[in-house]
Amino acid sequence: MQAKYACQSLEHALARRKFLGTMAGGAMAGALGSLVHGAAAKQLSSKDMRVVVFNLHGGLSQLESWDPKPGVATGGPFRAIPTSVSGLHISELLPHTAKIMHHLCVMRGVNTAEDDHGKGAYMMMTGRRQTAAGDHPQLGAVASRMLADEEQPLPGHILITPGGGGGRSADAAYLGPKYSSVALGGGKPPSYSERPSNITAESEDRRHDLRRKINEQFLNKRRTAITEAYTHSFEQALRLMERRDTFDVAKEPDKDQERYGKHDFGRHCLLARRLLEAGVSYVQVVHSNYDTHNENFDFHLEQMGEFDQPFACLVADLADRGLLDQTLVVVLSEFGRTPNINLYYGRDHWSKAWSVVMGGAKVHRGMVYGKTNEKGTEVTDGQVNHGQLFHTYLQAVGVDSTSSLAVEGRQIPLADPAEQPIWNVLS
Amino acid sequence: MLSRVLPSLPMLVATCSLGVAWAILSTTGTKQAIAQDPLPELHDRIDASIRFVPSHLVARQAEDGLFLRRLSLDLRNTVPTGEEVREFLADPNPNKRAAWIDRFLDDPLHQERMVTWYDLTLMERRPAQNVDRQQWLTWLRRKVGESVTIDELTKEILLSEWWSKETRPHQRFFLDREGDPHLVTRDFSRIFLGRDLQCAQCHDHPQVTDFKQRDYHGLLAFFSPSALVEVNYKDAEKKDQKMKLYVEKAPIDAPFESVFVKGKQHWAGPMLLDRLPQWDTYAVPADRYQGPATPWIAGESPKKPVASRREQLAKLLRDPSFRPFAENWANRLWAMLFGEGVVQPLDMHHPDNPPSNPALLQVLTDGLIEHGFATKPFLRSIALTQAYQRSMELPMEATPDQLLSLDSARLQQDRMALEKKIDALRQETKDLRDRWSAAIDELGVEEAEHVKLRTELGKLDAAIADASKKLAEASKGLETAKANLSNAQKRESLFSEAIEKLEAAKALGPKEDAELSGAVATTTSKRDATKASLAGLQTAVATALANHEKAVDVEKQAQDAARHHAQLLEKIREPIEKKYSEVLRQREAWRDKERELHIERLKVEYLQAILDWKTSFIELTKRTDERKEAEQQKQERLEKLASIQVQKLSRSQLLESISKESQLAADALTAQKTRSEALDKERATLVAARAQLQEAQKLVAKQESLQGALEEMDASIRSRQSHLDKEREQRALTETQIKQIAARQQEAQQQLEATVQEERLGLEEVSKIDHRIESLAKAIDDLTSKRKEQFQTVLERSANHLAAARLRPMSAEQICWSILRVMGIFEQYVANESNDLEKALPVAREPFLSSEEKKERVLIATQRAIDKLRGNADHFARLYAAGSGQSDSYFASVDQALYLANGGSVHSWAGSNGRNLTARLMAAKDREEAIQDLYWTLLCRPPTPQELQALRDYWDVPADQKGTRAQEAVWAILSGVEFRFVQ
Repeated sequence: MQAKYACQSLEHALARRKFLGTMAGGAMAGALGSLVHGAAAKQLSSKDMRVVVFNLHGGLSQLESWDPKPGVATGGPFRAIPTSVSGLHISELLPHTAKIMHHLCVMRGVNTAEDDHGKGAYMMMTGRRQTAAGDHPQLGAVASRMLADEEQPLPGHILITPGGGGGRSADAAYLGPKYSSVALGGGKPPSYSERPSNITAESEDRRHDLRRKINEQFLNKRRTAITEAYTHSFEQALRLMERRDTFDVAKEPDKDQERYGKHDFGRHCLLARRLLEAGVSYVQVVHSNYDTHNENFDFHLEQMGEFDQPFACLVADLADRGLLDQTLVVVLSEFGRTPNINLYYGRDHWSKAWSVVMGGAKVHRGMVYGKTNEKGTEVTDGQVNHGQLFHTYLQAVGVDSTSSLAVEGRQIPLADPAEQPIWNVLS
Repeated sequence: MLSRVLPSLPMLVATCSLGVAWAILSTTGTKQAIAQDPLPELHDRIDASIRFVPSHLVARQAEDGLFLRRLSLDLRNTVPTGEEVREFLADPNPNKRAAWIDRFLDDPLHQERMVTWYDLTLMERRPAQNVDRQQWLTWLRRKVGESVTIDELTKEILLSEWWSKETRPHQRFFLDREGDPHLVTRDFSRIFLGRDLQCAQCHDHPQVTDFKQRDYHGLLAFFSPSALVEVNYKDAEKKDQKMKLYVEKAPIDAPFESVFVKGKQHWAGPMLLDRLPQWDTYAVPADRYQGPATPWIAGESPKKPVASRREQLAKLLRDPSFRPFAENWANRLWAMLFGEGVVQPLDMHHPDNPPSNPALLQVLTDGLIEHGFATKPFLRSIALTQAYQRSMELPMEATPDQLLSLDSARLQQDRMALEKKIDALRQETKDLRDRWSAAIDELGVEEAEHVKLRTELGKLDAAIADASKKLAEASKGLETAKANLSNAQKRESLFSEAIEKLEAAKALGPKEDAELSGAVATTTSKRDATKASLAGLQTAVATALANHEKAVDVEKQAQDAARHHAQLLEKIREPIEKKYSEVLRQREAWRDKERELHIERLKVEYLQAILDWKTSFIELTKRTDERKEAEQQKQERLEKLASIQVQKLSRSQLLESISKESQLAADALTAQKTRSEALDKERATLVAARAQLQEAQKLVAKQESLQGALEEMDASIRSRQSHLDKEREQRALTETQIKQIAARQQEAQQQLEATVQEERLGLEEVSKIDHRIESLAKAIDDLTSKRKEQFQTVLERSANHLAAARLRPMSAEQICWSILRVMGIFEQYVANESNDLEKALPVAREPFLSSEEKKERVLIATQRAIDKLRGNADHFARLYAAGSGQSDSYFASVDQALYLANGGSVHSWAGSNGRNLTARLMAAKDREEAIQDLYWTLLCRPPTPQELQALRDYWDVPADQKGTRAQEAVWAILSGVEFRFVQ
C-alpha cells in the first residue's frame, strides 16, 4: 500500500537511501538536484524569496503529527515512526513526510496561551495579539510587501482555500489592499482574469490600444506617480491574463497530478508549487476540518492521510528543483489539541504546548527545537510563542523583522517589537 | 475691513505676517467684528486667507466643463451627465457657477453624498454587526433630510438613550465598535477631534510631542463607564431574543502610569484635551443610580446612572470656545471638496503637522461655527472660493517667460529671511517646550496627593459598599427577628382565644368530652411554650436591632469618611486647576511657536521648489542653446570637411592620372629596350654572319658574287645601326619624360597627403563636437527629468498653498456612480422607481402635486435606485477602498484593472442601452458629432484636434461594425486614466 502512493521523485529516492544509511550526507542530493533543475533554479536570484504556509484550520493535534507520545495515557492509539533524521520520530500517520524530515525543523515548544479559534488564528497569522485599537497585517501581506517584485503581474499574496469564492480580503490592514490576499476559492483562477467570451481578441486589442492612445493625450499634460500606477496596473493585468495558465493545475504533467493525488488538497499543493515556480511571493494552502472534539483519531487518520503525501511531494519537489533554499515552508494551526482525551474520543483546544513545523530558506534543516513533558501537557524546553515565530518566518526569508515601515508618516514595526526571532533555528 | 487692508500689503511680506495678523483679529473676537463692521462673505474671507503664493504664479480658473465635473463629484459623488455639461456651458447667466453650486446642493444626490460621507467618516466601512445597515442609512437619510448640523448629530450619537430599542442606529458608532472603551476613545479622538491619540495610550506619544498620555486617559474616562451588555427580551411574537446594549454605568476611574516610568501614577479624570479636568460631585455609591432603565428587558435590567459622562462630554464639545471639534469638522468638510485637508492626515492635528495655512483653518473654523455647524452653507462657501475653482495648470507651465521673469534674487532673499526666522523659532520652541515640561513637573506634588486621595476614596467606596451589604443583611435579620416575635405573640393570643373557646364549648357540651379536654391541654401547653419563647425572641429582636444600628453606624461612618475625603479632594482642586492651567498655558505658547516654525518651513519649501525649478529651467535653456551652437559648429565643420574631401578626391584623381602616365612611359621605355635589344641582337647576328661571309670570300674564287652579298649585308647592318641609334635617342627622350613625370607625381602625392591631413584634423574636430553634443544631450536628459520631478514638487507645493488644483483620484463610490450615471443605468433605475411611485398614487392626485411633493418623490425614487444599485458600489469598494477601520488612500491594483477590463457588468454597462451614450454614438449620422458627444459625456471637455483625428480614423468602418467600435471607445475611456481622476 505504501509503495502505491509513494512519491517517485529523485529527491525521495535519495532521501530514502540516506535514511537507510547507505549514503553519507545530503550534499549529493543537492548537487544532483541542481544538475537536473539548474535552469529553473537559476532564474531566481537569491533575493527571490518565497513563503508557503500550510494552514490546518481547526487545530492540528500535535500528538497525531509532530510530537507523538505513544504508550502514555494521553498518547492515543498511533505509533511513532522513525524519519529521515536519525532520532526524530513523528506519528505513523505521516509516512511520506517522515522521509523528508531532513528538510524541516520541528518546533515542539509552542505556547501561545490562546484557546479561541479566531484569536488564535489571528495571533498565528499576524504574530500579535488582537487589540481593539487596530489590526495588523497578516504574514502574507507583510511577505508580499517585503518580497514581491513590483513588476510581477501575479498577485504576491495568494490564499488557496478548499471552497468559497475569490476576491480580496482585508488582511493587509494598514499595508493597504494592494497587499491583501487574493483567494483562489477551490483553486480557481482570480476573478475577471479572462476576456469575456463575447468579446473578440481583435476587439479587445483595439480597445486597449485606444485606451493607451487616449491615455497618452492626458499623460502628456500630467504624468504623476498616481497616474503611472494606474496605467501600469492595466498593463500588469494584461500580462496576468497572458499568464492565466499559471493557475491551471491541469497544465502540470499527468505524472505529477498522480503523485500529488487527485483530491482537492493534492491539486492545491500542486497549484502551490506552480505558483511558487511562477514567482508568487506568498502562497497559503488551507486544509480544514481539524477541530476534532469528537473522534479525534478517526478524523486525524483521514486528514493526515490526505495531507501527508501532497505535502511531502511539494517539499521534496522544491528541494529537488533547487527552490527550497529560497522558499520558507510553514505548517501551522491556530493551536494544538489537548493531551487529555475526552469522553467522545476527542481532543479539545490546547495552546500551552503544541508544534509548528518550518523548513527551507534560512531555517536549519533536520532539526527539532523545544520539548514537551512526558504526557505532552507542558513545554519543558525551547518554549516559543506566536510573536517569536512571526519574527523567525520573516528572518528566514531575509527580512529584518525588527525594522519598521513608514505608514502615513507613522513608523510601524513589522513584527511585535516586544519579541525577538528564534536565532537558534536560523542559519 | 480685511479685504480692504490685505491687497495693499506687499505680497510675500504680507504672507509672513498675515497669519499672525489674521490670528489676532480672529481671536480677539469675531463677534465684536460682526457688530462693528459686517464681515465679508465667508468665501471671500477664505480667499483672503490664501495669499502666500504671488498672484502671477497662481493657476487660473478651471474651464467650465472640468469645473462642473469636479463640483458634481464633490457635491454629488458622481460626474455630471452629458446633458448637464451641455446645459451648463450654454447657460448665459454670468453667475452660473454660483447658481449651479446651489443647484447641486439642492439635488437629491447631494443628500446621498452626505449620507455616504457621514457613513464612511463615522464607520470607516466597519461591518454592520449589532445594527442593521439599512436602518443606519435610513437614520442618516432622515437626519440629512432634516439638515442636521454636525454638532446636533454628535449630540445625538453621544446622548441617544442606550436603554431604547429605537435609538440603536444613533448608537452605531459605539455598538459596531463593540463598545470597546479603547477603540471608542481612539476613534472618537480621531474622527471627532482630529487627533489620533492611540500611541499615547501607554506612554506619551513617541513622535508627536503634543499628544500626551494624559490626553488619552482624560478622554478614555468619558467612555470607560460604558460597555456592551447583552440582555434578553421578548419580541412582538413573545419569542426570546438577545440584544447587545451600549450601557453606561456610574464611573469608576483609575490612575494611569507610563510603561516607561513605572510607579509614578497620574490622574486625568474625565478631561477633554485643553479643558481642565472635570470634577464629579461626590455621591455615595447608593445614590449613583436611578431606577431600572429598561422595562422591556427580561430579568434584571441595567440601571441608569445619575450622572452621565457622555452627557458631560457632549456639553464640553458644545462649548463654543472649544476649538478642536470645530477645527476637525471644518477640515474634514474642506477635505471633502479638495481631496485633502488643510491639516493632512485628517486625524493628525498637532503643531508638528500644522495646517498648510493656519489662517485658512482659522477662517474655516470660524465659518463653520458661524454657520452653526450646518454643512450645506459651509460647503457652498467653499465651492464659491477662487481657490476651489482653480485649474490644475500653473501659468508658468504654458509661458516660461513668467518663470524667467521671477526675481530670483528677491525670492532668495525671502527664503534667507525665512531661514533666519526659522533658526530663531527653533530656539524659542525649544525653550517653550522646556517651560511646558517644567510646568508638568510642577504638577507632581498635588498630583501625588490627588492620586492618593482618589485611591483612598476608591477604598472608601468599597468599604461603603461592604457596609451597605452588611447593613442590608442586618436589616433583613432585624425584620426576621421582628416577624418571629410578632408571629409568636399572635400565636399566643390565638392559642388563648382557642382555649377560651374550647372551654366554652366544653361547658356547653352534654357531658365530659375527653377529646376536647385533650385539645385544651395540648393548646394550653403550646400556648405556654410559645409564651416561654417570647423572651428569647425579644432578645433576638434587641440584638438584631443593635446589629442594625451598628451597621447603620458603620455605613454612615464610611460614608462620612468618604464625604470627608471628597471634601479634601475639593480642597486640592483649586491648586491643581491652577497648576494645570499653567500647563495648558505653556502648552499653548509652545504650540503657537512650533506651528509657526513648521509653517515657515512650508514657505521655505515652496520658495525652494520654485527656485530649484527655475534654476533647472535656466540651466536647461543654457544647455539646449549650447547644444544648438555645437550642432551649428558641427554643421560648419562638416561643410568645410566636405570641400576638403572634394579637393582630396580631385587630387587623388590627378595623382592617379600621373601614375597612369608614368606607367605608360615606363611601359614605352621597356618596349624600347626590348626593341633595342632585338635590334642589337640582329645586328650582332648580321655582324657575325658578315664575318663568316668574309672568311668564306677568302676561300671562294669568284669573289664578286660574295662581294654583292657582303655589301647587302653591310647595308643591313647599317640600317640596323641607324635604327638602333634612333631607338637610343627615343629612349633618352622617354627617360627624360619619366623623370619629369616622377617629379610631378611627387608633387601631387605631397598635395594629397596635405589634404588627407586636413581631412583627418577636420574629422577629429567633428568627433570632438559630437562628443560634446552627446554629453550635452545627456545633461539635457538629466535636467529634463530633474526638472520634471522639480515641477511635480512645484505642483505639489503650489497645491499645498492652494495656488493650483490637485489631481486626485475618485473614491470607490465615485467611480461606481459615475460609470452608472454616464451610461444611463442610474437614470433608468430612477425612472423605473419614479414610475412605480406614480402608479401607487391615486390617478386624480398627479396633477395636483405641489412642487414640494414632486421634489420628495424624486428624492425617494433616487434613494430607492441607490439602494437597488448599492451592491455595485459595494463591489467597487471591495476593489478600490481600504478595509474596515482603515482610512481610504489611493492605490492601483491588478484586480481593479482586471475588473474594469473584463468585468461582465462593465461590459454590459458600456453597451448600447435605450438612449445612452453608446446607443447615441451608434445612431449618430455625423462622425464629428459622435466624437464630441463621447468626450463631453465622459470627460466633460471637447476632444483635442489629435484626439479628433485618432477617433475619426477609428470610426471609419462599415456601418455593421459601428456598434462594436462605439462600445470599445466608451469602454476604453471608462477604463482610461483621465476618467479615473478628478482634475
